[in-house]
Order: sequence, then C-alpha cells, then structure tokens
Amino acid sequence: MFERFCRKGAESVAFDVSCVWFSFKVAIRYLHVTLFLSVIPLALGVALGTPIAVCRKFRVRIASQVAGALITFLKGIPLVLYVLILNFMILKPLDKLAEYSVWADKLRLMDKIEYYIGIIALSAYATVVISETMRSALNSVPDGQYEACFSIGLTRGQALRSIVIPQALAFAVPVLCNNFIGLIKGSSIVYVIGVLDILNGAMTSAQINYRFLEAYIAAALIYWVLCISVERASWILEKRFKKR
Amino acid sequence: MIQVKGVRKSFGKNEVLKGVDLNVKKGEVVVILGPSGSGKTTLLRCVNFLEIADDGDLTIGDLSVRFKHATKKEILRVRRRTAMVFQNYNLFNNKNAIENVMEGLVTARKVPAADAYATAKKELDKVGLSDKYDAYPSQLSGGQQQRVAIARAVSLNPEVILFDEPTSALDPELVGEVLAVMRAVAREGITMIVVTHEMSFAHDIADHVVFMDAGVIVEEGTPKEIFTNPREARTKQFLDRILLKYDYSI
Amino acid sequence: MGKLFDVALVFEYMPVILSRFPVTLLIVSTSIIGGTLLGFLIALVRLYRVPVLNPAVVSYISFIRGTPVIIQMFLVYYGFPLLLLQVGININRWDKLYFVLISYMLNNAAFMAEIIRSAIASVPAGQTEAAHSVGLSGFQTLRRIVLPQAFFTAFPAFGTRVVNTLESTSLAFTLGILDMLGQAQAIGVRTYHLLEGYVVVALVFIAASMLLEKGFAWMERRLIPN
Repeated sequence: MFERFCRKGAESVAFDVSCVWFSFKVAIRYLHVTLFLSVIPLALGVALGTPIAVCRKFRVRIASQVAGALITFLKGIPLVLYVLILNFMILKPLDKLAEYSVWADKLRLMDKIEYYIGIIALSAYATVVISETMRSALNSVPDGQYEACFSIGLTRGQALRSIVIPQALAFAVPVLCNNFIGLIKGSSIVYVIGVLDILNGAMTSAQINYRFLEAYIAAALIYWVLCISVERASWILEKRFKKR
Repeated sequence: MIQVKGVRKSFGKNEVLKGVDLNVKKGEVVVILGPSGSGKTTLLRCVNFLEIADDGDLTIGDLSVRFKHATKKEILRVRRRTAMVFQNYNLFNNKNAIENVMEGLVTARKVPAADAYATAKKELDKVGLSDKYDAYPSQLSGGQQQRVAIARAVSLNPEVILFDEPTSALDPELVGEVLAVMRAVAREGITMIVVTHEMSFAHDIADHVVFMDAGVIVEEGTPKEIFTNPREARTKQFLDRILLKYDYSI
Repeated sequence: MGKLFDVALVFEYMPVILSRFPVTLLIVSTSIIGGTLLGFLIALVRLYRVPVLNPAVVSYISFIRGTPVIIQMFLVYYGFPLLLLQVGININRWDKLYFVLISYMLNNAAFMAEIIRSAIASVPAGQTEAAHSVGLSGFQTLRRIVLPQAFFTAFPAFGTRVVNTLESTSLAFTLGILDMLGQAQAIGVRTYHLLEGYVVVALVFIAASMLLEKGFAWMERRLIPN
C-alpha cells in the first residue's frame, strides 16, 4: 500500500514530492503527541514558575535564595540534557528496583513510559524558562504603580490582584507564546529517547522507503504551520490584552 | 491635625532627614520649598510610609504611630487617611480614568461599585474631565493624567493629600491647568502638604511655607514672611536663585 | 554495572569530555560570525524592501524560527548535497561537521537578521533626516549615524543569541558529531556509565553560559553609555 504514495524508493536519487506527502500523512498522525508534549509543560511551567517568580520578586526569605541559585544553574543546561539525564535517572533505578518489586517492573515496561519521561523533562525545563519570563513580567511593572496602590490604601495582595498582575500579564502573554513556540520546537528533542512524535513519526515513514530528506521536509512543514498558528494567536491575544 | 516629630531617614551613609518636625492644622495648605536633595520629597514619602523612616513619630487626628515600629495594620490605617499625588502621576495603566478613581474606593474602602462610580464621576467632573471617563492613561496628556490623579486622591476624602512636585514632569503649557485644580482643592478646605517649585502657587495659596535644606527645616512662616522678609541667609539665597530662574513677579 | 552514579568518574571523564569543548566553540563562533554577516545582508534586504528577495527572505526567517534546529540540521545534511549536485558539485564526501556548521550558520542568520533589522528600525527617522540635512549620503548616514546607534540596541539581544546558540549546539551529536555530548555517549556505550558523562557536559554548559552571560553584561556596562 505504501507504494501507492511513494513509488520510487531509495534507488531513485531525484527528489520526490509524493514521498513528502506520504511522510506528511504518517507524521500528522502524531500531531497530538507533540501538542501534549508542549501544552502540558507550558501549563505546568506557568503553574510552577509563577510562584517561583513571585518569591524572588518579593524576596521571600530562604525560598528566594534557593530558587535564585537553582534557576541560575539550571538555566545553563541545554534541553537535550534534561531529557537524557531524566530518562536515565528514572529508568535506571526502576531497572534495579524491578528485581525486588513487581510494581517497579510493571512501571519500567509500561507502555509509552518514554513519553511520560519526555513530559517530565520538558516540564522541568519549561518551569525554569517560564519562571524567568514571569520574573521579568513582574519587573516590567514600574514601582510607581505599587506606590500609587499603597497611597490609596490597597494591601499588597489587593495591589497584586487588581493592578500589578493584570499589567504583568499583558507583558507576559507574548513572551509566553514565544516560550510555547520554543516548547513545540524543543519537544522534537524527545526523539532521542524514542518518543513517537511528529519528527519520529516522519522518521518511521522514512525507514520504509529510505526517503529521509522528504520525511524531514514533511516534519518541518508541520512544525512550521504549528508555530505560525501560535504566533498568529499571540498577535490576537496581545491586541486584546493591550489597553492602548 | 497632622504632626510629624523628629523624623530621621538615611539611605546608606547619606542622612537625608536629620530630625524634622512639622505641624499641619486641619484645612491648612502647607508648601515645602527647598533645593533638590534637601529631603522634602523623602519627608512626604515617609508620611505615607512609602519609605520607612528610621526614627520619629507621626500623628494623624487620633492615630499615633512610631515610624520605626509601625505594624502592617498601622501603616494601612495611615495610608487610608492620607492620599498622594505623584510627580509622574502613577495612574494605573491597566485602568481607564474612572476605574482609576474607583479603585481605591471599591477595593480599599469597600464602597459599593455604584456609589463609587457616582463619586468618581463627580470628582472627574470637578477636575474638568467629564469627557474622559473611558480614556486610558496612555490616551491622556500629562496635565489630564495629573488631574485624574488629583481626582483619585480627593475622592478618598482623606485627612490630608500629599502633593509630591505635581507639576515638575509637565510641559510648561500644561502646568496652569493642574495648578488651577489644586487651587480649587485648597478652596474646598482640604488639608494639603505640597512639595513644589511653583512660587506663585506657594505665594497665593499656602497658609504656611516651610523651607528645607540639607535634611532640616531652616525656616518656616507665612508666605509673606518667607517671601518678602526671609530671616535666614540660605532661604534668601534659594529664593533669589529660583525667582531669577523662573522669572516670576511676586 | 555497579553504582548508579560514581562521583570519581565525573573527575575521570572531565578532561576527556573537556577536550571536545573546542568543537562546541567552533560551531558557536563560526555560526555567530557567519550568521551575523549573512543576517546583516538579510536585514538590509528587508529594510530596503528589495523586490523579489524581500518576500523570499521573509519566508526564510519564518521557516527558521518555526522549525526545530534538529530538523534544519538534517535538511541541510540531506538536502545540500542534492542541491549542489544539480549544479555539478559533489559534496557527498564532506565531513559531517561542515553540514553542522552550515546549518547553525543559516539558523543564526535568520535570528541575527531580525535582531539587526529591529535595531536599525528603532533608530528614530529624525536621525536620518538630520544626517541628510547636513549633506551625508545614504551610505554615510547608515555607517556613521544609524548603525552606531543601532549597535547599542542590538547588543543585549545579540548576547542572548550567543548564549542560546551555545545551548542549541548540544544537538550536533544527533548528526554523529563527536562533541562533548557525543563523547559522553561514546564513553557511556563503552562503560555503561552514562549519567556521569551527562553531568560533566551539563556542568561545562552551566559554566560556559554563565561566563558568557557575565561577559556580555560586563561589555554592555562598558560599551553602552547610560
């Protein structure tokens, strides 16, 4: 059945558009995997990164120092190392534990475990990146806004809720969209631990017909369209958040 | 009545306020003059707890606090009896004019939204912005923004309004409209402490003029005493310089 | 296979893996230098709206920004030889490193073009008008008035870009380049000790990116008035 889409196979050198189409159709079936691999880390990153940023902004004792030191360190580590290190740190202990516990053995051989590891690694990375986004968003609100809040008798919580956070959000939304695009592209890295996402899906089609270039083009097109869509959505959101 | 006693404040090694006393009677307009760096802005900010003074006492009506030991609750109580107008307006950028005025009423004072809306409307009308209810700060001129800020302060019906160089950031042609609004506020009998370089305003409106230099009050008195017959050399020097610079005829 | 993590091995692997750091540096430096030059040309195409080239360049930038570096790298690896074969040049025997250098350079060109373009666009039109009013030519205006001002605007973004490039070079190993990560994997395959190697690579990246960030912050303070 594959020949129907891509007749020529490896022996033909010339570039073949029909093979791109074939790979495209295989790869698009894994669209949801890439989406989960980027949306879940984005959400977790916002949920975990925001409190970290708030701690650091308001110099909460101990927590802000610990978070500050940790983030400065983790910021320097490339995403691929998050994936490789967490993959190792989760799978190897499970291998050892499997000798003693059935539960660990089951977990280790669980369907799609590499997929969950990918989500964990991307979420850790996203938390670091987004905590920095949120910190600069909080810093983007001038001190005068806090002072005006205090001068009319608002508490810090009230100031945050009705003045600071809405303004910080207007700053953060376009940056978060950029972070999201970064996560969509970055999620392709999980192919090094064998997660079947768009990129790996395209590769499986190439393993049938050895048309690698065509497969990569197909994958690239899907990522491109995804990222452009997010960018467009970002513009619309930005306009809505911006009060002139 | 507002009473500040023995307020001291240092930033690092630099002592900005070296024990300042200030008494303001109810309904009085006090203008604080002085060269830049004399500590007059810091004094205002200490009264509103935007800076925490190192020493001294503050009394507003029946409420007395020590600057150094003020609890969060006390600070909030002081702030709810005072209001401030800033040099660079500090309107809330995410709120339009009417929301800016309503914010303190609704969130801090728990006034019902409908009442707050009516009050805000009334105050904006008084400062001549009845056509700008829905305008965001970025759509207003500096003079208009400052008038909204004054409406925001007045609407809270505070025991005192602190003005921190309210016209310094304005283009010269916009200064007049803000001063006119401030004159109107003074005529209403609201207690005001004003830091400014506008000599004509000080001369015409102030009940009491305070001259500060290098963290202390050098001289104080009625506008007439200070402007026509200053006792201290430093006051005289400052007035000569500033009157020359601004070329006002008094 | 013993312990999960052996600290002693970290010290043992450190020099071996560090000896591959020059490969990373080579990729970063060539791609930044080449990318900046190419990016400058692309920025000019966009600023002067050169017909035909401008829309092509816009799509190019969008493509580079919208696709993963890994894919770009493999596209260059498989696509470039095919393209050059059309004009009779055979580069099938090229070392893989060249393809990596080219792809990172093409990648940076797009990002640099955007940085340079927005920096030049941020210089107020009044500056150009003033320069014309005192009789400077278009090129003189660009060289003497606009570019020096744009440089200060672009500098912080340029620094961020260099740090990002450093981190993204960690993907070169997927093409089989023996850089630090490639070396760590080679050791891992031999000894079954992967984690120690990864930790070494992570430490080197942390140190290098911190140094770069500090360096750029320092230069920014030195170079930029106010």
